[in-house]
Amino acid sequence: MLRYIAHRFLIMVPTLLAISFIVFVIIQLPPGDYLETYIAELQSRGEGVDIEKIQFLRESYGLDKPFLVQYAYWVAGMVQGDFGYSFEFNLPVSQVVGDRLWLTALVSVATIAFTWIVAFPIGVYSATHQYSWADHSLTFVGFLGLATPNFLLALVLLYFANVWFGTSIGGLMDEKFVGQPWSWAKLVSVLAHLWIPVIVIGTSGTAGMIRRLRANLLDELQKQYVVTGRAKGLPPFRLLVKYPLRMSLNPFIADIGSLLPEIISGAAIVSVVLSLPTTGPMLLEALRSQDMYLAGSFLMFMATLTVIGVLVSDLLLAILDPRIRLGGGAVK
Amino acid sequence: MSVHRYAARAIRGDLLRAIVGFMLTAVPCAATSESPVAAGIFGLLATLFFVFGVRSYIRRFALVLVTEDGVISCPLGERSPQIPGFRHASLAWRDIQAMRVRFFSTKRDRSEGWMELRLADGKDRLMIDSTIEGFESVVARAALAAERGGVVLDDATLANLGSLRIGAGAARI
Repeated sequence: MLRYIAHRFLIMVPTLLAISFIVFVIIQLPPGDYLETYIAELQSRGEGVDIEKIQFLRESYGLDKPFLVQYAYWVAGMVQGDFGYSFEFNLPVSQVVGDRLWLTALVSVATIAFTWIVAFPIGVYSATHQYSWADHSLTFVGFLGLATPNFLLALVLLYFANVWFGTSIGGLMDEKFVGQPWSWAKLVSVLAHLWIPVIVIGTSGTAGMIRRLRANLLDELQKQYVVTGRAKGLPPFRLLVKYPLRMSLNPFIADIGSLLPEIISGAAIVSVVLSLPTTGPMLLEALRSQDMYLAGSFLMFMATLTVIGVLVSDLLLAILDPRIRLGGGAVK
Repeated sequence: MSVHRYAARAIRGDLLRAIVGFMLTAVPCAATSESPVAAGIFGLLATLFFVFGVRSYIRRFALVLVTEDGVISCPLGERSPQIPGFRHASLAWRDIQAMRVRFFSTKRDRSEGWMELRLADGKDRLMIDSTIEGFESVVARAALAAERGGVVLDDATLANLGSLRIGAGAARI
C-alpha cells in the first residue's frame, strides 16, 4: 500500500503543475490585463489616467515581465502559501478569500452529506421494489429534481423560507453577523440559513444519484451470484448489503474526484442568486475584472480539490475493490 | 527450495520515484516560511517519500525462501536482525490462516499495476509484491496451502488468482 500511495502522490505533482500552467494560460488569455481594464473603466467614467502611476503599478505587480517569469513567480509563491495579490481589493488573495473558503467547504460538505443521505435509501428502495407505486413516484420526483433549474428552485425556496419560517432572504447568515468574528450565535445563524442552499444545490445531484444507484443495483440484482445466494437461503437483507450493494457502490467511489469541484463550480450561479458569501460569485467577478491572481487561485483551488478527490477515490477503490480487470491486466 | 529476490529494475524505478518525490516536497517544505499549513503538508509528503525510499533501498537485500514446508521472508537478507520490521518472518504452509492477493492499479482502467500477496499464520505475517522474481510460483504454492488448510479466500483474491491463471487449489484453470 505504501508503494501505491507514493505512486499516486508522485503522479499528483506533474498533474498539478500541468493544471497550474493551463490555468495561468487561461487567465492570461483575454486581451490586456487588469490595469488596462482599470484604465478603460476610468476613461469611461471620464476620469484622468496617471500614466506614471499605471507604469508603477505594472512594475510592482510584475505585469511587465515575460509570461513564463510571471508563471514561475506565481507557482513558487503558491507553493509557499502566497497566492498573490488581488488587484481589485488591494489585498493579498489569502486575505480576500478569508472566510469564503471555509463557508464554501461547509456548504459543499453539507450538500454532499444531504445528497448521499437522501439518495442512498431511495435508490436502494427503488431498485429492490422495481415498478412498484413507490418506485414510480420516487422516479417521478427524481426526474422533477433533475429537470428543475437550480436558480429557479433557489428563488422558490427563498420565498417560502421567508413566508413560512421567517428566514431572512439571501446570504448565509443574518446581516448583523456579516464581517463579525465567529461566535456561537453566528454559527447558529449560519446553520439556520444553510438548509436552503444545501437543498437547492443538492437536489439535482440527489436525483441523479438516485437514478444511477437504482440502475447499478438493478444490474447487480439480476446477476447469477445473487440468484445463487437466494437459492442457498441467504437472508435477503444480508445478501443485498454484502454483495450487490457493495458492487453497485464502485461508480460512486470513482466519482468522488469530480464531486467536490462539480458542487463548487455548479453552485456559482446559485450563490449569486442566493447572495451566498462563497467562492463562486467572487470567482465570476475576478474573471470578469481580470483579477488574475484571485481568479487563478480559485481555479487552482478547484483543480486541487479534483486531484485530491481522485486520489481519495483511487485509495478507497484500492481498499474496497482490489481486483484486476480481466482481459486488460498486465502485472509488473 | 527456491530463492526469490526483488527485480533490480523495479527497485531502481521505486528509488527514483522516492528521490524525485522527496526533492519535490522537501525543497518547498524547507523554503516555506509564511504558511505553516503548507509546510506541514509538504513535510508529511516528504516523510512519506523518505520512508518509501528507505523501504525501496532495503528491498535490494530482501530474500524470500520457498520450501516444501513453508515460506521465509528475510527483509535484510539471510542475516536480518531480530528487530521488529526487519526480522525473518517464517510461515509453515500447514499453519496458513489467511491469504489475500490484492491488485494495485496505476491506471484508472486498471490495465497496469502490480499485485500484493499477504499471508498470515497465528503469529507471523508477510507481504510480497509482484515485482519479486517468480511471484506467480509463490502465489500458486500459497494458494495450494490455503486450499489444503481450508482457508476462506475473499472475492478479490479469487478474481486475482483467476487472472494469474491459478485456481484456489493451485490447479491451473
